[in-house]
Amino acid sequence: MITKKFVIKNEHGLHARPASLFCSMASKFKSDIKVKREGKNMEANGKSVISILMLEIYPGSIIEISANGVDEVITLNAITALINSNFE
Amino acid sequence: MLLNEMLLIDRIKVNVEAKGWEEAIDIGGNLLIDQALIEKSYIEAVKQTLRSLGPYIVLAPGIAISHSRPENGVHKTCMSLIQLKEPVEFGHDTNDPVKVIFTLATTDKEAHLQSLRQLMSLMMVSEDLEVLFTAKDVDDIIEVINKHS
Repeated sequence: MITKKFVIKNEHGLHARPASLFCSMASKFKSDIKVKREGKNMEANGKSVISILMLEIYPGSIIEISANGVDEVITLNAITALINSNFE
Repeated sequence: MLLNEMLLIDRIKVNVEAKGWEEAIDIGGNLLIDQALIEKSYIEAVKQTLRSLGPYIVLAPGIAISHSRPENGVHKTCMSLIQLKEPVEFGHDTNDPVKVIFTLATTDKEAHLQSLRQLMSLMMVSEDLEVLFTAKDVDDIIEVINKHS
């Protein structure tokens, strides 16, 4: 398993559209993807939009993403690229 | 605002007939337009965004949350719910076809957060979700909404 931390910078945080893009990306890979947010005691399934929305991730939120599986490195790289693009 | 304060009984319809996603979005929106809670422009904005950005509002299998931005014509924070007689296609890769549509309208970024949190937790409970998909009586849906409010 590998994990990485991010600061969310896009304008409205992970609302419906970015969360949906996140899950579409996450669902392309075999690895399990878990998402946590600092200050919230919950672990979200990175392949469920509802689960991610429940984390209530806003601009400035710090999140930790972990990928676990045969393609975990490429999975996390793809997600990193998506977040760094501010979900554009 | 609690979920059951936004989603009142006269904003819920079951067994609704719609030919496609646009008509379904309109019907859900009209429940709020008819009560002067939102403007027609709000629902037009929902459809325009879907046409340009795709069906990202289909958040889970069979469920769409029709919404746009406050500045597109919202008078009061509110929500409607329609359950379709026959599900419609939105063009979503994994979550089509859609049977249940929530229309969410909010006057600012904070007003709806508590109710949205309650809606999301409802959507995590599969037996409650099943009621939204299958209820023949609005009262059964109200019972589930109250349980999560």
